[in-house]
Amino acid sequence: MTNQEQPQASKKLILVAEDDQFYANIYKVKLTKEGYQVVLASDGEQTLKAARLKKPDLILLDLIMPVKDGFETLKELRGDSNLRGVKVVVLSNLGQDEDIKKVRELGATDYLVKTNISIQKVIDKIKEHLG
Amino acid sequence: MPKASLSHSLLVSFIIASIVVTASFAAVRGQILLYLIPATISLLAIISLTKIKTPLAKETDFLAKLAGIQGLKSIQDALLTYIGEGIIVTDPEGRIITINKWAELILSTTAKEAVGKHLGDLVLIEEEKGFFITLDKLVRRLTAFHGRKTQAVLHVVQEDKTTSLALATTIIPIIIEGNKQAMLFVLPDTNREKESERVRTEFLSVIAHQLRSPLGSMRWGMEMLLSGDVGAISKETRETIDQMYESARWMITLVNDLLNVSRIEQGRVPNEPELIDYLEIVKTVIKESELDAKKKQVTITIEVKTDLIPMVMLDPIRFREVIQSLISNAIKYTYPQGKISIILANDNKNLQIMVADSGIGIPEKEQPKIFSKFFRATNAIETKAEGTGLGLFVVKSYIEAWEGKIWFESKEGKGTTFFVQIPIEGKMIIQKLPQDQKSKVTNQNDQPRTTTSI
Repeated sequence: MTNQEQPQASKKLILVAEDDQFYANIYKVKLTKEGYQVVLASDGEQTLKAARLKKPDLILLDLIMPVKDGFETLKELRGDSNLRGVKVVVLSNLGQDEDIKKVRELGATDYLVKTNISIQKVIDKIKEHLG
Repeated sequence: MPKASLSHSLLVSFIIASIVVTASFAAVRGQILLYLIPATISLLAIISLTKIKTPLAKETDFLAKLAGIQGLKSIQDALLTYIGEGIIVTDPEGRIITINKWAELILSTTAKEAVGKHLGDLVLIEEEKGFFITLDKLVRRLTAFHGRKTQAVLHVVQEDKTTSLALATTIIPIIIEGNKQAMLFVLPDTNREKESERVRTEFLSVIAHQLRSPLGSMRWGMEMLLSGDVGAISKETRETIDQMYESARWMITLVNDLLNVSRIEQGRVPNEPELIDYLEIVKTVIKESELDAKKKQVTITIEVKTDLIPMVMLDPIRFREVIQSLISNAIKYTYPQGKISIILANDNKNLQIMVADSGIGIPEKEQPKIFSKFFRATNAIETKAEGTGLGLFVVKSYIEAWEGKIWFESKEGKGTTFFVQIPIEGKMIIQKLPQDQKSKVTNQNDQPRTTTSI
Protein backbone atom coordinates (compact mmCIF):
# COMPACT_ATOMS: atom_id res chain seq x y z
CA MET A 1 0.00 0.00 0.00
CA THR A 2 1.55 3.29 -1.04
CA ASN A 3 1.45 6.37 1.14
CA GLN A 4 -0.23 9.15 -0.75
CA GLU A 5 -0.96 12.65 0.41
CA GLN A 6 -4.69 13.29 0.49
CA PRO A 7 -5.82 16.56 -1.08
CA GLN A 8 -8.22 18.69 1.02
CA ALA A 9 -11.28 17.79 -1.03
CA SER A 10 -10.98 14.09 -0.49
CA LYS A 11 -10.66 14.14 3.27
CA LYS A 12 -12.61 11.20 4.58
CA LEU A 13 -16.00 12.02 6.08
CA ILE A 14 -17.15 10.56 9.37
CA LEU A 15 -20.75 10.85 10.52
CA VAL A 16 -21.01 10.75 14.32
CA ALA A 17 -24.40 9.62 15.67
CA GLU A 18 -24.33 10.47 19.38
CA ASP A 19 -26.90 12.22 21.53
CA ASP A 20 -24.57 12.89 24.48
CA GLN A 21 -22.88 16.25 23.88
CA PHE A 22 -19.90 15.30 26.03
CA TYR A 23 -19.03 12.32 23.83
CA ALA A 24 -19.99 14.04 20.58
CA ASN A 25 -17.53 16.79 21.37
CA ILE A 26 -14.75 14.32 22.15
CA TYR A 27 -15.23 12.60 18.80
CA LYS A 28 -15.30 15.90 16.95
CA VAL A 29 -12.11 17.18 18.57
CA LYS A 30 -10.15 13.96 18.18
CA LEU A 31 -11.28 13.03 14.68
CA THR A 32 -10.81 16.52 13.31
CA LYS A 33 -7.30 16.45 14.77
CA GLU A 34 -6.65 13.26 12.83
CA GLY A 35 -7.59 15.06 9.64
CA TYR A 36 -11.10 13.80 9.10
CA GLN A 37 -14.20 15.78 8.27
CA VAL A 38 -16.80 15.32 10.99
CA VAL A 39 -20.59 15.68 10.85
CA LEU A 40 -22.72 15.29 13.97
CA ALA A 41 -26.23 13.86 14.33
CA SER A 42 -28.01 13.57 17.65
CA ASP A 43 -30.74 11.04 16.93
CA GLY A 44 -31.56 8.19 14.58
CA GLU A 45 -33.66 10.21 12.16
CA GLN A 46 -31.01 12.90 11.82
CA THR A 47 -28.42 10.20 11.29
CA LEU A 48 -30.32 8.67 8.39
CA LYS A 49 -30.97 12.05 6.79
CA ALA A 50 -27.30 13.04 7.10
CA ALA A 51 -26.14 9.66 5.82
CA ARG A 52 -28.31 9.88 2.70
CA LEU A 53 -27.33 13.46 2.06
CA LYS A 54 -23.61 13.42 2.77
CA LYS A 55 -22.66 9.82 1.97
CA PRO A 56 -20.02 9.44 4.77
CA ASP A 57 -17.14 6.99 4.59
CA LEU A 58 -17.76 5.81 8.11
CA ILE A 59 -20.55 6.18 10.66
CA LEU A 60 -19.78 6.11 14.37
CA LEU A 61 -23.06 4.90 15.81
CA ASP A 62 -24.28 5.08 19.41
CA LEU A 63 -26.98 2.57 20.28
CA ILE A 64 -29.03 4.52 22.80
CA MET A 65 -30.45 7.57 21.04
CA PRO A 66 -33.81 9.32 21.08
CA VAL A 67 -36.40 9.23 18.28
CA LYS A 68 -34.80 6.21 16.67
CA ASP A 69 -32.23 4.07 18.43
CA GLY A 70 -28.99 2.69 17.02
CA PHE A 71 -30.41 -0.75 16.24
CA GLU A 72 -33.27 0.64 14.14
CA THR A 73 -30.96 3.12 12.46
CA LEU A 74 -28.45 0.41 11.58
CA LYS A 75 -31.21 -1.74 10.14
CA GLU A 76 -32.39 1.08 7.90
CA LEU A 77 -28.87 1.99 6.89
CA ARG A 78 -28.20 -1.53 5.74
CA GLY A 79 -31.56 -1.67 4.04
CA ASP A 80 -30.65 1.31 1.89
CA SER A 81 -28.85 0.15 -1.25
CA ASN A 82 -27.00 3.44 -1.55
CA LEU A 83 -25.50 3.12 1.88
CA ARG A 84 -24.59 -0.55 2.04
CA GLY A 85 -20.91 0.05 1.55
CA VAL A 86 -20.60 2.53 4.42
CA LYS A 87 -18.55 1.31 7.35
CA VAL A 88 -20.53 1.39 10.57
CA VAL A 89 -18.69 1.25 13.87
CA VAL A 90 -21.08 0.83 16.78
CA LEU A 91 -19.87 2.54 19.91
CA SER A 92 -21.92 1.94 23.02
CA ASN A 93 -21.91 1.40 26.72
CA LEU A 94 -23.94 -1.75 26.50
CA GLY A 95 -21.59 -4.67 26.81
CA GLN A 96 -24.01 -7.54 26.72
CA ASP A 97 -23.48 -10.44 24.36
CA GLU A 98 -27.04 -10.21 23.12
CA ASP A 99 -26.44 -6.65 21.94
CA ILE A 100 -23.16 -7.49 20.22
CA LYS A 101 -24.79 -10.40 18.46
CA LYS A 102 -27.77 -8.34 17.35
CA VAL A 103 -25.54 -5.60 16.03
CA ARG A 104 -23.41 -8.08 14.13
CA GLU A 105 -26.45 -9.65 12.56
CA LEU A 106 -27.67 -6.24 11.49
CA GLY A 107 -24.43 -5.78 9.59
CA ALA A 108 -22.19 -3.57 11.69
CA THR A 109 -18.53 -3.41 10.79
CA ASP A 110 -17.35 -3.32 14.40
CA TYR A 111 -18.58 -2.99 17.99
CA LEU A 112 -16.73 -1.09 20.69
CA VAL A 113 -17.66 -0.68 24.35
CA LYS A 114 -16.91 2.87 25.51
CA THR A 115 -16.22 2.03 29.13
CA ASN A 116 -13.71 -0.67 28.32
CA ILE A 117 -11.67 1.12 25.70
CA SER A 118 -9.53 4.23 25.53
CA ILE A 119 -10.31 7.13 23.20
CA GLN A 120 -7.07 6.53 21.37
CA LYS A 121 -8.00 2.92 20.71
CA VAL A 122 -11.29 4.08 19.17
CA ILE A 123 -9.43 6.44 16.88
CA ASP A 124 -6.98 3.70 15.95
CA LYS A 125 -9.82 1.34 15.08
CA ILE A 126 -11.51 3.96 12.93
CA LYS A 127 -8.26 4.58 11.11
CA GLU A 128 -7.92 0.85 10.60
CA HIS A 129 -11.38 0.55 9.09
CA LEU A 130 -10.91 3.51 6.83
CA GLY A 131 -7.69 2.05 5.54
CA MET B 1 -65.47 -34.69 92.65
CA PRO B 2 -64.67 -31.12 91.50
CA LYS B 3 -65.32 -28.31 93.84
CA ALA B 4 -68.74 -26.84 93.17
CA SER B 5 -69.31 -23.17 92.52
CA LEU B 6 -72.39 -21.20 93.59
CA SER B 7 -74.33 -21.76 90.40
CA HIS B 8 -73.35 -25.38 90.58
CA SER B 9 -74.85 -25.65 94.06
CA LEU B 10 -78.02 -23.86 92.93
CA LEU B 11 -78.37 -26.30 90.05
CA VAL B 12 -77.94 -29.29 92.37
CA SER B 13 -80.46 -27.84 94.80
CA PHE B 14 -82.93 -27.32 92.00
CA ILE B 15 -82.55 -30.89 90.78
CA ILE B 16 -82.96 -32.33 94.30
CA ALA B 17 -86.04 -30.16 94.77
CA SER B 18 -87.59 -31.39 91.51
CA ILE B 19 -86.90 -35.02 92.46
CA VAL B 20 -88.53 -34.50 95.85
CA VAL B 21 -91.53 -32.72 94.35
CA THR B 22 -92.12 -35.27 91.61
CA ALA B 23 -91.59 -38.20 94.03
CA SER B 24 -94.08 -36.68 96.46
CA PHE B 25 -96.52 -36.19 93.64
CA ALA B 26 -96.21 -39.81 92.64
CA ALA B 27 -96.65 -40.89 96.28
CA VAL B 28 -99.78 -38.77 96.63
CA ARG B 29 -101.24 -40.20 93.43
CA GLY B 30 -100.20 -43.67 94.37
CA GLN B 31 -99.23 -44.60 90.83
CA ILE B 32 -96.02 -46.57 90.30
CA LEU B 33 -95.53 -45.24 86.81
CA LEU B 34 -95.39 -41.68 88.12
CA TYR B 35 -92.22 -42.66 90.02
CA LEU B 36 -90.55 -42.87 86.65
CA ILE B 37 -90.39 -39.07 86.53
CA PRO B 38 -88.18 -38.51 89.57
CA ALA B 39 -86.24 -41.61 88.62
CA THR B 40 -85.48 -40.14 85.20
CA ILE B 41 -84.59 -36.76 86.65
CA SER B 42 -82.23 -38.45 89.12
CA LEU B 43 -80.60 -40.52 86.42
CA LEU B 44 -80.16 -37.54 84.15
CA ALA B 45 -78.83 -35.46 87.05
CA ILE B 46 -76.25 -38.04 87.93
CA ILE B 47 -75.09 -38.39 84.35
CA SER B 48 -74.81 -34.67 83.62
CA LEU B 49 -73.41 -33.64 86.98
CA THR B 50 -70.56 -35.99 86.63
CA LYS B 51 -69.97 -34.57 83.19
CA ILE B 52 -70.63 -30.90 83.80
CA LYS B 53 -67.41 -29.26 84.76
CA THR B 54 -66.73 -25.83 86.01
CA PRO B 55 -64.50 -23.68 83.83
CA LEU B 56 -61.67 -24.25 86.25
CA ALA B 57 -62.16 -27.96 86.06
CA LYS B 58 -62.15 -27.82 82.29
CA GLU B 59 -58.81 -26.09 82.27
CA THR B 60 -57.30 -28.46 84.75
CA ASP B 61 -58.31 -31.41 82.67
CA PHE B 62 -56.95 -29.87 79.50
CA LEU B 63 -53.64 -29.19 81.14
CA ALA B 64 -53.57 -32.70 82.44
CA LYS B 65 -53.90 -33.94 78.88
CA LEU B 66 -51.30 -31.49 77.71
CA ALA B 67 -48.85 -32.56 80.32
CA GLY B 68 -49.31 -35.99 79.03
CA ILE B 69 -46.55 -37.27 76.92
CA GLN B 70 -48.94 -37.77 74.04
CA GLY B 71 -49.83 -34.11 73.97
CA LEU B 72 -46.27 -32.91 74.10
CA LYS B 73 -45.28 -35.18 71.32
CA SER B 74 -48.09 -33.90 69.11
CA ILE B 75 -46.95 -30.35 69.64
CA GLN B 76 -43.35 -31.27 69.01
CA ASP B 77 -44.25 -33.05 65.80
CA ALA B 78 -46.27 -30.09 64.61
CA LEU B 79 -43.43 -27.71 65.44
CA LEU B 80 -40.81 -29.78 63.69
CA THR B 81 -42.89 -30.31 60.59
CA TYR B 82 -44.08 -26.81 60.05
CA ILE B 83 -41.20 -24.72 61.28
CA GLY B 84 -39.52 -23.16 58.29
CA GLU B 85 -36.04 -24.37 59.10
CA GLY B 86 -34.20 -27.65 59.11
CA ILE B 87 -33.79 -29.26 62.52
CA ILE B 88 -31.40 -32.10 63.26
CA VAL B 89 -30.65 -33.48 66.68
CA THR B 90 -27.68 -35.76 67.19
CA ASP B 91 -26.95 -38.01 70.15
CA PRO B 92 -23.72 -37.81 72.16
CA GLU B 93 -22.10 -40.08 69.57
CA GLY B 94 -23.02 -37.80 66.69
CA ARG B 95 -25.73 -40.02 65.30
CA ILE B 96 -28.96 -38.45 64.10
CA ILE B 97 -31.91 -39.04 66.40
CA THR B 98 -34.30 -36.47 65.02
CA ILE B 99 -34.56 -34.88 61.64
CA ASN B 100 -37.49 -32.77 60.46
CA LYS B 101 -39.07 -32.50 57.05
CA TRP B 102 -37.07 -29.44 55.99
CA ALA B 103 -33.77 -31.00 56.96
CA GLU B 104 -34.73 -34.11 55.02
CA LEU B 105 -35.28 -31.97 51.93
CA ILE B 106 -32.10 -29.95 52.39
CA LEU B 107 -30.01 -33.09 52.87
CA SER B 108 -31.85 -34.99 50.13
CA THR B 109 -32.63 -37.85 52.47
CA THR B 110 -35.49 -39.28 54.49
CA ALA B 111 -35.88 -39.69 58.24
CA LYS B 112 -35.82 -43.41 57.69
CA GLU B 113 -32.42 -43.26 55.99
CA ALA B 114 -30.94 -40.58 58.17
CA VAL B 115 -31.85 -41.60 61.71
CA GLY B 116 -28.99 -43.58 63.18
CA LYS B 117 -26.49 -42.29 60.63
CA HIS B 118 -23.52 -40.25 61.79
CA LEU B 119 -24.08 -36.64 60.77
CA GLY B 120 -20.46 -36.39 59.73
CA ASP B 121 -21.25 -38.82 56.91
CA LEU B 122 -23.77 -36.43 55.43
CA VAL B 123 -22.19 -33.03 55.82
CA LEU B 124 -18.84 -31.27 56.09
CA ILE B 125 -18.51 -28.76 58.89
CA GLU B 126 -16.63 -25.53 58.24
CA GLU B 127 -16.12 -23.92 61.63
CA GLU B 128 -14.35 -20.82 60.45
CA LYS B 129 -13.55 -19.54 57.01
CA GLY B 130 -11.46 -22.27 55.44
CA PHE B 131 -11.17 -24.46 58.51
CA PHE B 132 -13.06 -27.71 58.43
CA ILE B 133 -13.70 -29.77 61.55
CA THR B 134 -15.08 -33.22 62.27
CA LEU B 135 -18.33 -33.57 64.19
CA ASP B 136 -16.57 -35.32 67.06
CA LYS B 137 -14.11 -32.49 67.40
CA LEU B 138 -16.95 -30.01 67.33
CA VAL B 139 -18.78 -31.88 70.07
CA ARG B 140 -15.68 -31.93 72.25
CA ARG B 141 -15.05 -28.26 71.51
CA LEU B 142 -18.55 -27.33 72.64
CA THR B 143 -18.65 -29.43 75.81
CA ALA B 144 -19.82 -27.41 78.81
CA PHE B 145 -21.44 -24.86 76.55
CA HIS B 146 -24.92 -26.13 77.24
CA GLY B 147 -27.52 -23.87 75.71
CA ARG B 148 -24.95 -21.57 74.14
CA LYS B 149 -25.28 -21.40 70.41
CA THR B 150 -22.48 -21.27 67.90
CA GLN B 151 -22.34 -20.83 64.13
CA ALA B 152 -20.73 -22.95 61.47
CA VAL B 153 -21.19 -23.55 57.77
CA LEU B 154 -22.42 -27.00 56.90
CA HIS B 155 -21.58 -28.19 53.41
CA VAL B 156 -23.89 -30.68 51.81
CA VAL B 157 -22.22 -32.34 48.86
CA GLN B 158 -24.66 -32.44 45.95
CA GLU B 159 -25.44 -35.35 43.69
CA ASP B 160 -22.92 -34.34 41.07
CA LYS B 161 -20.25 -34.73 43.76
CA THR B 162 -18.45 -31.58 42.62
CA THR B 163 -20.63 -28.86 44.05
CA SER B 164 -21.85 -28.40 47.58
CA LEU B 165 -24.60 -26.44 49.21
CA ALA B 166 -23.27 -24.17 51.94
CA LEU B 167 -25.61 -23.58 54.86
CA ALA B 168 -25.05 -21.09 57.66
CA THR B 169 -26.06 -23.29 60.58
CA THR B 170 -26.71 -22.56 64.23
CA ILE B 171 -25.49 -25.27 66.57
CA ILE B 172 -26.67 -25.62 70.15
CA PRO B 173 -25.23 -28.23 72.50
CA ILE B 174 -27.65 -29.70 75.02
CA ILE B 175 -26.30 -31.47 78.06
CA ILE B 176 -28.27 -34.62 78.67
CA GLU B 177 -26.43 -35.97 81.64
CA GLY B 178 -22.98 -35.58 83.02
CA ASN B 179 -20.78 -34.66 80.10
CA LYS B 180 -22.87 -36.35 77.47
CA GLN B 181 -24.40 -33.89 75.13
CA ALA B 182 -26.81 -33.90 72.27
CA MET B 183 -26.41 -31.31 69.54
CA LEU B 184 -29.19 -29.34 67.95
CA PHE B 185 -28.52 -28.13 64.43
CA VAL B 186 -30.72 -25.45 62.95
CA LEU B 187 -30.33 -25.28 59.18
CA PRO B 188 -31.54 -22.20 57.30
CA ASP B 189 -34.53 -22.23 55.01
CA THR B 190 -32.76 -22.68 51.67
CA ASN B 191 -35.66 -21.31 49.69
CA ARG B 192 -35.40 -18.09 51.59
CA GLU B 193 -31.61 -18.19 51.16
CA LYS B 194 -31.88 -18.81 47.43
CA GLU B 195 -34.39 -16.02 47.11
CA SER B 196 -32.22 -13.53 48.97
CA GLU B 197 -29.22 -14.67 46.96
CA ARG B 198 -31.18 -14.05 43.78
CA VAL B 199 -32.29 -10.63 44.96
CA ARG B 200 -28.74 -9.77 45.94
CA THR B 201 -27.38 -10.83 42.56
CA GLU B 202 -29.99 -8.83 40.71
CA PHE B 203 -29.28 -5.80 42.88
CA LEU B 204 -25.55 -6.07 42.16
CA SER B 205 -26.28 -6.37 38.48
CA VAL B 206 -28.48 -3.28 38.39
CA ILE B 207 -25.98 -1.19 40.35
CA ALA B 208 -23.08 -2.33 38.22
CA HIS B 209 -24.95 -1.38 35.06
CA GLN B 210 -25.81 2.03 36.42
CA LEU B 211 -22.20 2.66 37.37
CA ARG B 212 -20.84 2.02 33.90
CA SER B 213 -22.02 5.22 32.24
CA PRO B 214 -20.61 7.70 34.74
CA LEU B 215 -17.40 5.67 34.98
CA GLY B 216 -17.09 5.71 31.21
CA SER B 217 -17.51 9.47 31.11
CA MET B 218 -14.92 9.93 33.83
CA ARG B 219 -12.44 7.75 32.04
CA TRP B 220 -12.69 9.55 28.72
CA GLY B 221 -12.87 12.93 30.39
CA MET B 222 -9.57 12.26 32.09
CA GLU B 223 -8.04 10.93 28.90
CA MET B 224 -9.00 14.18 27.18
CA LEU B 225 -7.40 16.19 29.97
CA LEU B 226 -4.24 14.11 29.91
CA SER B 227 -3.91 14.31 26.14
CA GLY B 228 -3.87 18.09 26.32
CA ASP B 229 -6.64 18.38 23.74
CA VAL B 230 -8.79 20.54 26.00
CA GLY B 231 -5.91 22.77 27.09
CA ALA B 232 -2.36 22.47 28.34
CA ILE B 233 -1.90 21.14 31.86
CA SER B 234 0.90 21.51 34.35
CA LYS B 235 3.01 18.63 35.60
CA GLU B 236 1.28 18.68 38.98
CA THR B 237 -2.14 18.61 37.33
CA ARG B 238 -1.02 15.72 35.19
CA GLU B 239 0.15 13.75 38.22
CA THR B 240 -3.12 14.32 40.02
CA ILE B 241 -5.19 13.32 37.04
CA ASP B 242 -3.02 10.25 36.49
CA GLN B 243 -3.85 9.13 40.01
CA MET B 244 -7.56 9.67 39.43
CA TYR B 245 -7.37 7.88 36.12
CA GLU B 246 -5.92 4.75 37.71
CA SER B 247 -8.74 4.74 40.25
CA ALA B 248 -11.35 5.11 37.55
CA ARG B 249 -9.81 2.23 35.58
CA TRP B 250 -9.85 0.09 38.70
CA MET B 251 -13.50 0.90 39.37
CA ILE B 252 -14.39 -0.06 35.82
CA THR B 253 -12.65 -3.42 36.28
CA LEU B 254 -14.56 -3.98 39.51
CA VAL B 255 -17.87 -3.18 37.86
CA ASN B 256 -17.12 -5.49 34.95
CA ASP B 257 -16.10 -8.26 37.32
CA LEU B 258 -19.29 -7.81 39.34
CA LEU B 259 -21.40 -7.91 36.19
CA ASN B 260 -19.64 -11.07 35.06
CA VAL B 261 -20.14 -12.70 38.42
CA SER B 262 -23.82 -11.82 38.64
CA ARG B 263 -24.38 -13.18 35.17
CA ILE B 264 -22.64 -16.40 36.13
CA GLU B 265 -24.63 -16.64 39.36
CA GLN B 266 -27.83 -16.24 37.42
CA GLY B 267 -26.77 -19.19 35.34
CA ARG B 268 -26.13 -17.04 32.29
CA VAL B 269 -22.52 -17.94 31.52
CA PRO B 270 -21.91 -16.32 28.15
CA ASN B 271 -20.56 -18.76 25.59
CA GLU B 272 -20.48 -17.96 21.88
CA PRO B 273 -18.02 -20.36 20.23
CA GLU B 274 -16.31 -19.51 16.95
CA LEU B 275 -13.42 -20.95 15.08
CA ILE B 276 -10.49 -19.15 16.67
CA ASP B 277 -6.74 -19.04 16.29
CA TYR B 278 -6.13 -19.42 20.00
CA LEU B 279 -2.36 -19.22 19.71
CA GLU B 280 -2.79 -15.76 18.18
CA ILE B 281 -4.96 -14.72 21.11
CA VAL B 282 -2.41 -15.96 23.64
CA LYS B 283 0.39 -14.14 21.83
CA THR B 284 -1.65 -10.93 21.72
CA VAL B 285 -2.35 -11.09 25.43
CA ILE B 286 1.33 -11.65 26.17
CA LYS B 287 2.22 -8.65 24.03
CA GLU B 288 -0.30 -6.49 25.86
CA SER B 289 1.10 -7.64 29.19
CA GLU B 290 4.69 -6.80 28.26
CA LEU B 291 4.52 -3.37 29.81
CA ASP B 292 3.45 -4.66 33.21
CA ALA B 293 5.95 -7.50 33.05
CA LYS B 294 8.75 -5.08 32.20
CA LYS B 295 7.97 -2.94 35.23
CA LYS B 296 8.88 -5.91 37.42
CA GLN B 297 11.59 -7.18 35.08
CA VAL B 298 9.65 -10.40 34.72
CA THR B 299 10.18 -12.44 31.58
CA ILE B 300 7.38 -14.30 29.85
CA THR B 301 8.20 -17.18 27.56
CA ILE B 302 5.86 -19.17 25.43
CA GLU B 303 6.43 -22.69 24.27
CA VAL B 304 4.34 -24.40 21.69
CA LYS B 305 4.39 -28.16 21.27
CA THR B 306 4.75 -29.37 17.72
CA ASP B 307 1.80 -30.09 15.47
CA LEU B 308 -0.43 -27.84 17.44
CA ILE B 309 -3.93 -27.81 16.01
CA PRO B 310 -4.28 -24.27 14.67
CA MET B 311 -7.95 -23.52 15.24
CA VAL B 312 -10.64 -24.62 17.62
CA MET B 313 -14.27 -23.77 18.32
CA LEU B 314 -14.20 -21.60 21.40
CA ASP B 315 -15.69 -18.34 22.57
CA PRO B 316 -12.96 -15.84 21.63
CA ILE B 317 -13.93 -13.17 24.16
CA ARG B 318 -14.08 -15.54 27.11
CA PHE B 319 -10.96 -17.43 26.05
CA ARG B 320 -9.08 -14.17 25.92
CA GLU B 321 -10.40 -13.27 29.38
CA VAL B 322 -9.19 -16.58 30.78
CA ILE B 323 -5.70 -16.13 29.35
CA GLN B 324 -5.58 -12.49 30.47
CA SER B 325 -6.61 -13.44 33.98
CA LEU B 326 -4.03 -16.20 34.33
CA ILE B 327 -1.19 -14.16 32.88
CA SER B 328 -2.00 -11.05 34.85
CA ASN B 329 -2.12 -13.06 38.08
CA ALA B 330 1.21 -14.63 37.20
CA ILE B 331 2.78 -11.21 36.68
CA LYS B 332 1.16 -9.72 39.75
CA TYR B 333 2.37 -12.37 42.13
CA THR B 334 5.79 -13.15 40.71
CA TYR B 335 8.87 -11.77 42.40
CA PRO B 336 10.81 -9.12 40.48
CA GLN B 337 13.12 -10.63 37.88
CA GLY B 338 11.02 -13.75 37.99
CA LYS B 339 9.99 -15.99 35.13
CA ILE B 340 6.64 -16.92 33.68
CA SER B 341 6.35 -19.72 31.17
CA ILE B 342 3.35 -20.58 29.10
CA ILE B 343 3.06 -23.89 27.35
CA LEU B 344 0.45 -24.82 24.80
CA ALA B 345 -0.17 -28.36 23.67
CA ASN B 346 -2.94 -30.57 22.45
CA ASP B 347 -3.81 -34.13 21.76
CA ASN B 348 -6.81 -35.38 19.85
CA LYS B 349 -9.06 -34.88 22.80
CA ASN B 350 -7.94 -31.77 24.63
CA LEU B 351 -6.28 -28.42 24.36
CA GLN B 352 -3.79 -28.03 27.20
CA ILE B 353 -2.50 -24.77 28.57
CA MET B 354 0.00 -24.35 31.34
CA VAL B 355 0.89 -21.04 33.01
CA ALA B 356 3.79 -21.35 35.43
CA ASP B 357 5.21 -18.55 37.53
CA SER B 358 8.05 -18.33 40.02
CA GLY B 359 6.12 -16.22 42.48
CA ILE B 360 4.71 -16.14 45.96
CA GLY B 361 2.72 -19.34 45.59
CA ILE B 362 -0.45 -20.23 47.46
CA PRO B 363 -0.32 -21.37 51.10
CA GLU B 364 -1.43 -24.98 51.41
CA LYS B 365 -4.20 -24.26 53.91
CA GLU B 366 -5.77 -21.74 51.56
CA GLN B 367 -5.53 -23.77 48.38
CA PRO B 368 -9.05 -25.30 48.58
CA LYS B 369 -10.60 -21.84 48.54
CA ILE B 370 -8.67 -20.40 45.65
CA PHE B 371 -11.53 -20.57 43.16
CA SER B 372 -14.12 -19.14 45.55
CA LYS B 373 -15.78 -15.82 45.02
CA PHE B 374 -14.03 -12.88 46.69
CA PHE B 375 -11.32 -15.08 48.13
CA ARG B 376 -7.78 -13.74 48.20
CA ALA B 377 -4.94 -15.62 49.82
CA THR B 378 -3.35 -13.89 52.80
CA ASN B 379 0.04 -13.64 51.12
CA ALA B 380 -1.60 -12.14 48.05
CA ILE B 381 -3.28 -9.46 50.15
CA GLU B 382 0.04 -8.73 51.81
CA THR B 383 1.65 -7.86 48.48
CA LYS B 384 -0.69 -4.84 48.39
CA ALA B 385 -1.46 -5.63 44.76
CA GLU B 386 -5.08 -4.88 43.93
CA GLY B 387 -7.50 -7.71 43.47
CA THR B 388 -11.18 -8.44 43.70
CA GLY B 389 -10.93 -12.13 44.43
CA LEU B 390 -13.29 -12.71 41.53
CA GLY B 391 -10.81 -13.48 38.76
CA LEU B 392 -10.37 -17.20 39.30
CA PHE B 393 -14.03 -17.70 40.13
CA VAL B 394 -14.95 -16.27 36.73
CA VAL B 395 -12.18 -18.18 34.94
CA LYS B 396 -13.29 -21.48 36.46
CA SER B 397 -16.93 -20.81 35.53
CA TYR B 398 -16.00 -20.16 31.91
CA ILE B 399 -13.77 -23.23 31.66
CA GLU B 400 -16.45 -25.42 33.18
CA ALA B 401 -18.98 -24.04 30.72
CA TRP B 402 -16.65 -25.43 28.05
CA GLU B 403 -16.65 -28.74 29.94
CA GLY B 404 -12.99 -28.23 30.67
CA LYS B 405 -10.96 -28.42 33.86
CA ILE B 406 -8.64 -26.09 35.67
CA TRP B 407 -6.30 -27.04 38.50
CA PHE B 408 -2.98 -25.95 39.91
CA GLU B 409 0.15 -26.95 41.78
CA SER B 410 1.68 -24.48 44.12
CA LYS B 411 4.28 -24.09 46.79
CA GLU B 412 4.39 -21.02 48.99
CA GLY B 413 7.42 -18.91 48.17
CA LYS B 414 8.31 -20.99 45.13
CA GLY B 415 5.57 -20.43 42.57
CA THR B 416 2.32 -21.62 41.10
CA THR B 417 1.46 -23.48 37.92
CA PHE B 418 -2.05 -23.43 36.56
CA PHE B 419 -3.21 -26.19 34.24
CA VAL B 420 -6.15 -25.77 31.89
CA GLN B 421 -7.64 -28.57 29.86
CA ILE B 422 -10.38 -27.91 27.32
CA PRO B 423 -12.02 -30.69 25.32
CA ILE B 424 -11.80 -30.06 21.61
CA GLU B 425 -12.81 -33.36 20.09
CA GLY B 426 -14.94 -32.63 17.08
CA LYS B 427 -14.42 -28.92 17.55
CA MET B 428 -11.23 -28.28 15.66
CA ILE B 429 -9.83 -27.98 12.17
CA ILE B 430 -6.41 -28.86 10.85
CA GLN B 431 -5.78 -26.03 8.47
CA LYS B 432 -5.58 -22.31 9.06
CA LEU B 433 -8.36 -20.31 7.45
CA PRO B 434 -7.40 -17.49 5.07
CA GLN B 435 -7.34 -14.04 6.72
CA ASP B 436 -10.58 -12.62 5.31
CA GLN B 437 -12.69 -15.45 6.60
CA LYS B 438 -11.73 -14.76 10.18
CA SER B 439 -14.31 -12.95 12.25
CA LYS B 440 -13.67 -9.22 12.48
CA VAL B 441 -16.34 -8.00 14.83
CA THR B 442 -14.94 -8.59 18.28
CA ASN B 443 -15.59 -6.90 21.54
CA GLN B 444 -12.26 -5.22 22.02
CA ASN B 445 -11.43 -4.80 25.65
CA ASP B 446 -8.23 -3.21 26.78
CA GLN B 447 -9.09 -3.17 30.44
CA PRO B 448 -6.06 -4.31 32.36
CA ARG B 449 -6.48 -7.72 33.96
CA THR B 450 -3.69 -6.84 36.34
CA THR B 451 -6.47 -5.99 38.66
CA THR B 452 -8.02 -9.42 38.92
CA SER B 453 -6.37 -11.81 41.26
CA ILE B 454 -5.97 -15.13 42.94
